Amino acid sequence: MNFKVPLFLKLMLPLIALFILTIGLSGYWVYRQSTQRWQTEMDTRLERVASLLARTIDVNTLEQIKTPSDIDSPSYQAIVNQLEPALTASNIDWIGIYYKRDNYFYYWVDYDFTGVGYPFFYATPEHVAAYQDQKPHRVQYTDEFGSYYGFVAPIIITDDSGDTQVMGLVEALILVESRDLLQRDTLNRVWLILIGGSVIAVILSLLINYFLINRPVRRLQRGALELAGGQLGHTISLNSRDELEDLADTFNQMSTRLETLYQQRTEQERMQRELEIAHNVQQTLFPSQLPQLPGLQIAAICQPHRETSGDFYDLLELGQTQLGVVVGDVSGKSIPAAMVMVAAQSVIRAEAHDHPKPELVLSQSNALLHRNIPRGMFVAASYARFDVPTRTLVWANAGQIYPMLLHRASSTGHNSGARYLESTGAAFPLGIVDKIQYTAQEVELLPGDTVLFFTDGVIEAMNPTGNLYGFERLESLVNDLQSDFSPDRLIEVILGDIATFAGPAEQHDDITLVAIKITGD
Amino acid sequence: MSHLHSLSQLGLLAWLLFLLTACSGQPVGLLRPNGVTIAPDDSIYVMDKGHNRVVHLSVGGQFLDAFGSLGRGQNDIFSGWDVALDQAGNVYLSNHIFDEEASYRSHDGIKVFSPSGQFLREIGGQDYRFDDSFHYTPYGLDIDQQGHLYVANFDSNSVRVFDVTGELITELFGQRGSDLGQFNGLSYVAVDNQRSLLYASDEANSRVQQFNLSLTDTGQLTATHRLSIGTYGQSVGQFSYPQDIAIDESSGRVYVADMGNRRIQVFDSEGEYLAEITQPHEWQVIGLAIGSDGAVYAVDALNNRILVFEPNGQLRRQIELGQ
Repeated sequence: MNFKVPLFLKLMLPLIALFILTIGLSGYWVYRQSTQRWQTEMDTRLERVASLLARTIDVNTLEQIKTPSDIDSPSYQAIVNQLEPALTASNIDWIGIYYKRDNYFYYWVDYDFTGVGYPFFYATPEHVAAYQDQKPHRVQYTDEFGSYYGFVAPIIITDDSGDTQVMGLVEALILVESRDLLQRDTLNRVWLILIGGSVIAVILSLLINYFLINRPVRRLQRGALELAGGQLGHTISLNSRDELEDLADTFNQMSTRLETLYQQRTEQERMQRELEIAHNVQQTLFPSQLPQLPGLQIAAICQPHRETSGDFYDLLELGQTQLGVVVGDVSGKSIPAAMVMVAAQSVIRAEAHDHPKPELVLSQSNALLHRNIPRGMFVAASYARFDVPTRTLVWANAGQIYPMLLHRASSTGHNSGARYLESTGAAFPLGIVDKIQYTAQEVELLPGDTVLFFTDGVIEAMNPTGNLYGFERLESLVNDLQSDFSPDRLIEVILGDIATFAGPAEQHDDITLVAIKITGD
Repeated sequence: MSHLHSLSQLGLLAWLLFLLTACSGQPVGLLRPNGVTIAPDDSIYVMDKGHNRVVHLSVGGQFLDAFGSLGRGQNDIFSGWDVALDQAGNVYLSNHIFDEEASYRSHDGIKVFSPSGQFLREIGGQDYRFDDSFHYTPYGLDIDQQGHLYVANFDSNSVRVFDVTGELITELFGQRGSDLGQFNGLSYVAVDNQRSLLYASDEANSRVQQFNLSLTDTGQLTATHRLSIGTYGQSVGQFSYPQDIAIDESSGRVYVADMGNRRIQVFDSEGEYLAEITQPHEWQVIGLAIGSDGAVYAVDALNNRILVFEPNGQLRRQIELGQ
């Protein structure tokens, strides 16, 4: 069951309940205090009035009042005149005097003219006690006229023998109905305060909830829904100057950050797709099958640092007996380098088919690339032309690392030593200068010789400590090889050694290796 | 908000139910009952003064209904005294407030309720008690066959007569004293329709005065003193603070609650003493009424009960609620 408890209920209802409880208890306390104080003051007043009148009443006049008809007598009026000021001054409801005869109490004189000898049926034990102990007593009873409480005080006289006796009782009373109505009025006011306070509390709580919590939270909710709906970067304007404003600021930061990350992610994905496309295009430029020429064993690999490579190689079958080998390295990385690489490979491939001389191929290629690649970019490349029947290699270089010639020493079974095929003349990479006349070197090869072309990614491979792989390690590696290695094996060994050297370090440059072995077939 | 709305409604409903339950609780018994009157079906209306209500009892004395509550408002009761029924069955009650100051802002006087206890009207309203010269304190009530309401006013020693609409027709007596036709605490009044007699209890003078009721040529209602019954004392035919008076119109017998002497005295319409009804224990007889079979209903305020006597004075039963 998806039962949700609104925030209002969680926060405001306890507060409202607490508020109402506080008002209720306060009201009850005020009510109790006021009624108790009223009661205490009234008790004191009643006792004082009864006692004072009992001491000061004119007993001689009182004794003259004997029968009901005496209610119209001057004596009765005189006593009433004594009672009246006390009644008025003390603001009580009734003052009267009783007498007792044959264990029955009777009205004697009272402010309401109830009647002389009117039977008082409701004498309490306190009335009797006041007669006996001659002290004031608190009384409470309900008679035919109403419910009362008050005090009785004995009228004490001294007889000839000096003994004291009680002549009658003065009673001062409050009508309970009056007291109850007063208390009910007080209680009604308390209820009014309680209900009014409760209503105000509820209204205030609703307003507080709406303006301080509900509305900001709904704005946050709407903002979150906008964000969830794809409106990245959606922000919320909230000036509540509280934690909700902090929350809104955090939300805005999150939303802006999400938008930025999404844009970056989109851009990355787009670039990734472009790189994949470029990679695929680039891969199609590499020979899908190595040329099969009698007398030659060929192996080649281009291991790009990223999706696209600035390195490239090309193996061109030039007629039945000649092989053109291009190894190049474009300055820069990624897409620009790849695009220049495509251009360079295409240009060199085209020139290689048009010109037999490697130096001319590079010179023409340089002229074309200089005009068509961005300034500041260049292509280090070497172009070699193998002639199988004559076992000759004509090689021109445009800034590329010198290829390594591995000569077989048949007596030891090892390479007799690797040496680099050095070039002379201009060796600027392609695309830097408009017109360059490259020169070519011709090398005569022997069966078993292997020419290894490689780019700087081989010797500049780095291990985690930043050391370079270097020429020496490469030379040492190939010198230790048995001379009957195949070009595939040679490349495999070199790559394996580079991997061993680099360890966990990431490859940081393209690595291209082309190995051509003269088999003597 | 809908949750809150529902919650608020539930809270309000619970609160109203609580108030309804708390306010509908009725006291079990009677407390200082006072005036009493008998309906044509012999059901009983009694003023339960201590509980500020009128209680309606069945013929057998079972509780049927009650109405009224303490207050100074129009349909409240502060100090109910006597009750009477008109021919429509409406209930009249006299209500007064001892506190002079309070009575200025209170609804005293006569209040009229329907048989089911619905407030109908008041006679006198807020200014019933005070006049230029008198303080009117309504005590005893009676209604004659013409629907005239007779109200005994204790302090003014007068009887105010109202018509069925509550308009004052006339005011009788009003002289304080001990001469004939004068009163010293006129507390109860009763009309003998058969004989056109008016009885009024004269408390401090310890007597019951009987008057001939008649209409003048101009239609004015007059009361002419005919005789006085009793003097102060404890002997036969004497009174000590006589209270309510009940008339058995079939026989003309007059029943007087002789409260101070703890008895009911019976007289004939000529004021001759016939009998007395007593109890073996202390009791305070105030209200009196006669049933359709001549039974005498006497309210014992001290013991909070109604005693029902046969016409010959033999106790038939006693009605004590909650016993």
